[in-house]
Amino acid sequence: MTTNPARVLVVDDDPLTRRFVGALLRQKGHEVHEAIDGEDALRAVHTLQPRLVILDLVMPMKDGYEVLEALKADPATKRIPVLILSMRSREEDVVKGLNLGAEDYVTKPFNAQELMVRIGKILERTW
Amino acid sequence: MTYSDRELLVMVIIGIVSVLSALTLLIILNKAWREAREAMDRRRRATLEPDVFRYAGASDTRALREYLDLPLSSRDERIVEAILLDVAGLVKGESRERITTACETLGLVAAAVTGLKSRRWWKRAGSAEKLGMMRSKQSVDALVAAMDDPMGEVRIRAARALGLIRGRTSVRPIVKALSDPNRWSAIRLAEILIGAGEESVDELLEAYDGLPKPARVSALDVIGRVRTPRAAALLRRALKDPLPDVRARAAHAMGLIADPTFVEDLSICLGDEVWAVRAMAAKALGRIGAPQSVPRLAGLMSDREWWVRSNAGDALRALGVPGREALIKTLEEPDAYARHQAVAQLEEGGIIDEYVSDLGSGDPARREAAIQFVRKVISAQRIDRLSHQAVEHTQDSVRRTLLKILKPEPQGGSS
Amino acid sequence: MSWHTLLARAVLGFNDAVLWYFAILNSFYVVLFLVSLVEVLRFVKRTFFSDYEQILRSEMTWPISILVPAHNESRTIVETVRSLLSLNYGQFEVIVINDGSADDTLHKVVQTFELKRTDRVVRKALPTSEVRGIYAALEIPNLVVVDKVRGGKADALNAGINVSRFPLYCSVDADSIIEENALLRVVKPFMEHPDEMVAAGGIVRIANGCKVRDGRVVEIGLPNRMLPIFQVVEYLRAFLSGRIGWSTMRSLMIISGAFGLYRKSEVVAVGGYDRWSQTEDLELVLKLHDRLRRQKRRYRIVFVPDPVCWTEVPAKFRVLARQRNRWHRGLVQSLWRHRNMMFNPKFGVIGWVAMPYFVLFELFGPFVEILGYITLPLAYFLGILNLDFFLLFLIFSIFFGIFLSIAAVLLEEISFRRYPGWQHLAMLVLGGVLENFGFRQLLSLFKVKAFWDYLWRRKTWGQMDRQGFRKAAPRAPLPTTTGS
Repeated sequence: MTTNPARVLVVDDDPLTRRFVGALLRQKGHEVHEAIDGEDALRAVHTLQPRLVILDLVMPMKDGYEVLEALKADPATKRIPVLILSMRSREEDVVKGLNLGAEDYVTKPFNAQELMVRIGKILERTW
Repeated sequence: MTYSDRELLVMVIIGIVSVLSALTLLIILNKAWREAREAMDRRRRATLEPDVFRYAGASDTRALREYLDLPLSSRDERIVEAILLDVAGLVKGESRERITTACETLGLVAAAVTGLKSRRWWKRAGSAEKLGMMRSKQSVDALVAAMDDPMGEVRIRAARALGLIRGRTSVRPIVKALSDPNRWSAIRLAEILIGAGEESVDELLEAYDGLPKPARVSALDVIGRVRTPRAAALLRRALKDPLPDVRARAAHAMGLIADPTFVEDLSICLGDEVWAVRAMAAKALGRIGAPQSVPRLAGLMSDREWWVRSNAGDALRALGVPGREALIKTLEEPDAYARHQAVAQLEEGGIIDEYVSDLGSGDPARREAAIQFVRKVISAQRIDRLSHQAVEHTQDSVRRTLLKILKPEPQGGSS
Repeated sequence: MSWHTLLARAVLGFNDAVLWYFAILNSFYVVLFLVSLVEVLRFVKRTFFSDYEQILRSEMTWPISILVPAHNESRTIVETVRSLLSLNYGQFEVIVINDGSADDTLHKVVQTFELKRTDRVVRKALPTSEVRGIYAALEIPNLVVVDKVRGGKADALNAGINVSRFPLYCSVDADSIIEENALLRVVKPFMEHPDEMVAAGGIVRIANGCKVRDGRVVEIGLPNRMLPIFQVVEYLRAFLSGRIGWSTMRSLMIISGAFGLYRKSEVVAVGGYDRWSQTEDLELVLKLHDRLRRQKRRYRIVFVPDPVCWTEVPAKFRVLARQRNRWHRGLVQSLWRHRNMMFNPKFGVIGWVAMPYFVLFELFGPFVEILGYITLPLAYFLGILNLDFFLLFLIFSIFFGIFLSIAAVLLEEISFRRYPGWQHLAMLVLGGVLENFGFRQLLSLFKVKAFWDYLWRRKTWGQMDRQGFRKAAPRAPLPTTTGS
C-alpha cells in the first residue's frame, strides 16, 4: 500500500526518536520536519501546515496535551490529524489523548512496522 | 626550621609547579582527545544511522549486513552496536526481533558473551547490560553463569538481562537468587521478575514453599503486581501464614489482583491482631470494590491504629454509594478520629462540595438533605472546607445559607 | 631577655606550628581527594546505560514527599512548584509549607493552582508551631500547601513531615532548581539497600551564570563575577573531592538542605529538625549518626554524586559574609552538642576522623591560619623572617591549595563534565588558582568572626535580600570541607 508522499511533522524532545521515526517516514517517501518541544511544535505547524503530526506527550515548555488542545482549538490547524507517540501508557492517558482529538495513540516502545501501517491508514483516511 | 640547602626548597617549588602544570595539561589533553573522538564518532554515526534505522523498520528478510554496503571497521562495529541498542530501547515486537537477529548475525552477542569473562568488572557489567538489551536466547547460559559473579553490579545486570530475555529457563535462576538475601537486593529482583511477567509466576508458584521468609514476601509482591488470577490458591494459603508480614503482603497482592472471590478471605483478615494485616486487608477490599464489606470497614474507622483507619476510609470512599453512606454515618461516631477521617474522605471524594452546591438547589428536598449533611459535618468539628466554601463558592445563595448554618447559634456547634 | 626576643621566639615557634598545621591539613585533603577520585571513577563506570528508566517504570519504587519550606518566596514560588510537579518520577507529592510569609506567597500559590482549604488528616508526629490551614485541589492530587505561623525553616520542615504521606521525604529549598531526573537518581541507593539506607544527599551546583527557563536550567554557564566563580570551584572541591570521600568512609556529616532524601521514620525517631539550630540539616545528620550508631544498626548515609540541584550563591560580599557566618555558627553549635561522639570508639570513623577533623581544621584551623598571616608580616618587621620559611609557608598554604582546586576541576572533567566549553575550563582553572589568593583567606576570616559571635551569643539572624531568581543567599549550609 503506497500513499502519496506527505509532509509530516515529528514532535519529540528525544533526538533519537525524532531521527528514527524520521528515517522510517523518509523511507516511505514522506517529507519529514522535526520539532523539539511544545512551542516549537506549534510554530512549526503553523508555518509548515503538515498533513500529519506525530506528537510526544512529555516535553518541556508545553506538553503534548497542551499542544493538541491548541491545535484542535485553532480552525487553521484543527483538521490536521495527530498521532500520539508516547511512553505514557495508562488508560487515562490514552483516553485523554483520544478525547482531545488525536487520531491514534501508540505507546513507546512501539513496533516500527505497525506504526508505519497506522500512519499509512491515517494518511489514506484524511486524504 | 632552618635549611642549609636553599636549593632543596626551590626544587620543591619547581616540583609542585610541574605537578600542577602536568595536571592542567592532563585535563586539557584529555578533554581535547575526547572531543575529537566524539566528533569523529558523531560524523560516522550520521552516515551509518539511516541504514540501521531502515533495517529496523523493514519487513524483508535481508540481513543488516546487506543494508550497510561498506566493510565494517571495528570502530564502525562499535557505532553500529550503539545504534542498534539505542533503537532497541525504542521498539518492540517485530522491530525488536530484527534487532536481536542483527546482533546475533553481526557477532555482537558473541562478543558480549566473551565480555562477560573480562577481568575488569565494569566490562563484565557492561556486557551483561548489553546482552539484556540485545535479548538473544543464545546468551542465556552465559548470563546464568554471570549471576554468580563476585561483583554485585555484574550480578544484578545479568539478572536483569535474563528477566528481559524471558522464558522459564531465564527466570528460574532469578527466583533462586531470591533466597540469597546477602547477595541480592530483593526489591530489584522482584522488579525484574515483575518485568518478566507470567513466566515468573509459574516459577514462583513452584518454588514458593522452598523460599525463606523475606523471599516469600517478595514472591507475593511479584504475584500481586503481575496480576495473575492463577495464584489464588497460594494467596489464600499465604493469608493464613503464621508470619504477619506474609499475611499482609498476601492481602496486598489480593487487592492488586482484585478478584471478587477474595472478599470472604479478606473480610476475615479485617480482624487480624496485627495492624499491618488489617490495614492491607482494608486497602485490598477497597480495590476490589465489594459492597458487602462496607459494614466491617465502617467498623474499622474506629480502629486504634492510624493506618488502619486511613485505609478503611480510603476503601469506603472507593465503594460507591454504600461506602459514602457509611462515611456519612461515621460523622456521628463518638470516636473523634473516626469522624475526622470521615470528613477528610468525604472531602477528597468531592462529596462535601456536592452537598454544598445542593444548598442552592431549586429542589427543596435536596436542599434539606444538604443542610442535614452540612450540620453533620459541623458536628464532627472539621469545618475548614465548609468555611472555605462559605467565602469562595460561586453561588450567592449557597454562601448565604452556608454562613447561616456555620454561624454560632445557641446550640449549633462550630469550633 | 627583652620582650623583643621573647616575641621573636613566640613568633618563630608559632610559625612552625602554622607550617605543621598546613602540612597536615593539606595532606589530609590529598588523601580525601584520592579516596574521592577512586570512588568517582567507580561511579562513572557504574552508570553506563542508565537504569533510571527501570526505576521510573517500576511499581516498586518508593513514593516520595517533596517538602518545600517557603518564607517570602513570592517571586519564584509558582515557578518552583510548577517545575517540581513536572519532575520525572512515578509517585510523589509536593508539599509547600508557607512559613508565615509576610508577602503574598500563599495567595499566589493558592490562586495559580486553584487550591481550596481542606481537612486533610495529619499525623502530628513532630511538634510544630500552629498550622493555620492546609490547601489542596482535587484536580492536582499531589500538591498540598500548608499554611502556618512563622517558626523558621526547621519548624516548617517538621510541619511538612507531619503532613507527608510517604515513607521517604525530600527536603528542597524554595529557590533551588531540581533536575528532572534528580529523584530517580537519589532514590537509587534506597532501592539497592532498602533496609539500610537512611539518608542520601546530592550535588548542589551553582546556578549563577546559567540560563534558567520555567524552573529548569536550559543552558549551563559560569558566572562572570569573581566571587561566584570562586564559589563554583569551592563547591566542586567540597562536593567532588570532599563529600564523596567522606561518604565512602561512611562518615558523611552533611547533607545539603537544598536537596536531600530521607527516610521519614528515622527522622521522626530522632525528633525531626531542631528550631534552635542555625544549620538544621547538619544537626539532623549528626543526630541520625548518633542514634543509629548507638543502636549498633547497620545503616547508610550516602552522597550520590549524580543527581543535581542548582542553586544561586551570593554574588555580593556582604551576603556571602552573612551566609558563611550562619553556617559556621551552626557548625560550632552542632559540634558542641554532639561532642560526646569525639574520639568515642562507639562512633567509628565519625568519632575518630570526621569529628576531630571538623574541630581541628574547621573550628580552630581558621584561627591558626589567620594568626599565621598576622605573624608573617610581624616576623618581617622583627627582622626574623626567613626567606626559606616564607617559601615553605607559601608552598604549604597556597600551592597545595591550588593543587587541590585544580584536582577538583580534574575530577569534574573526568566524570560529569557539566561545563562543556573550553572557556569554562579556562575560567575554572584560573578561578582555582586565584581563589587561593584572598578568597580562601577571607572565608577563614568569616569563620573566625563566626566563632567569636557564637561565643558572645550574638543571635543576629540578619536579613537576606531576596531578588527572585537573582536572589543572593540560599539557606542551605554546604561545603565545610572548603580547603581552608
